[in-house]
Amino acid sequence: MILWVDDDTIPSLRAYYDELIDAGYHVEIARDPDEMWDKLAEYLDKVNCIIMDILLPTGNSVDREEADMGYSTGLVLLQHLKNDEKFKDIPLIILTILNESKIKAWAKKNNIPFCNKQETTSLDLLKKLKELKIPPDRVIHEN
Amino acid sequence: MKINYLIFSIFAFILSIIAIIISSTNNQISINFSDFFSISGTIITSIGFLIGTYFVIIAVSVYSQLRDIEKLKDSVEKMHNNSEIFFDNIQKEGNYILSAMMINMDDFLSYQINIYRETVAGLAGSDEKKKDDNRKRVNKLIKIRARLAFRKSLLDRDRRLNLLRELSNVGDLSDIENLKEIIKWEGEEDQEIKELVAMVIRKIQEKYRIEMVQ
Repeated sequence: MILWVDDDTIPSLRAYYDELIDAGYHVEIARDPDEMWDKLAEYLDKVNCIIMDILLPTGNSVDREEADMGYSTGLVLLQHLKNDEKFKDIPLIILTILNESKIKAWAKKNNIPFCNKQETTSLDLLKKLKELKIPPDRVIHEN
Repeated sequence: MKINYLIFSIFAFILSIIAIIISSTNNQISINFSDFFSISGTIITSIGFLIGTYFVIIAVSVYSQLRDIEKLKDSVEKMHNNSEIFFDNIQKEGNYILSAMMINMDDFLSYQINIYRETVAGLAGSDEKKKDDNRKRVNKLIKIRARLAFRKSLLDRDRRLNLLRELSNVGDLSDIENLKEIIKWEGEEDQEIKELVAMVIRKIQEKYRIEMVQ
């Protein structure tokens, strides 16, 4: 199962979401950090990848100053996930409209694939999941 | 009723005149001074009664008109209150329609972004110029979409917050004045939006400072 942390509207995420579903992945969307932690607690054994946006609301579990009022909430969450024994082995992907070099550098340093929403197509995202060897939750038989 | 008063007083007056005429023409009745004064008194009293009746009629008429004016005032006030409610409802309906239009616009722009990213980019093949043009087009659409957050309260709060965060990345200096207007518009209680907008302004200014330095 893929846990996707993003507060964009459904029409905005539709292309990626539909492609992932068609490829056989089960996708759960969390709109803020609180929902993410709740879903991780519920689906921990089933989550085999987390796709993270950077621009996110802070909710109650992330300090607003630390996350720069929501500008870098995703980075704070990724750091917490990497530092937590329970979650540090879950593969992570960044999917955001931000294109800052310092974020890309941070992602590279932490070995997290960085995808920019302006350029990354839904097929590109599927390729990334295959590179990380994330198997789909159900097999799709093509006729 | 006022006609009755008038008729009665005229009748009383006429009767008193008739009484004088009869008494003065009847030779069998002699009028001395005291009789004369009492008859005059009767005449004066009936004239006074007539005039008094006239003013009573005016007073009654004025009172009745005042009552009518008050009723009219009440009905105008009621109509004014009803029309205020009516226009309030029209405004609410209008805001609801505008809000729905803004949501549709947000969704439509999202679909366009998806189409340009998913389909048009693919058509560019290996042509870097076409890819770059497409990237710029997608960025422009993201910018237009993010600017929907400028309009006060016509998008739901979560959408606005999401678009404002995006604007911190794609916005430019021309957006700063509109962002400052948001801080002025929002009420005292929406501190989160004000703080977010301050962050957005700061990020845009930082971005342009960096670009100017480079």
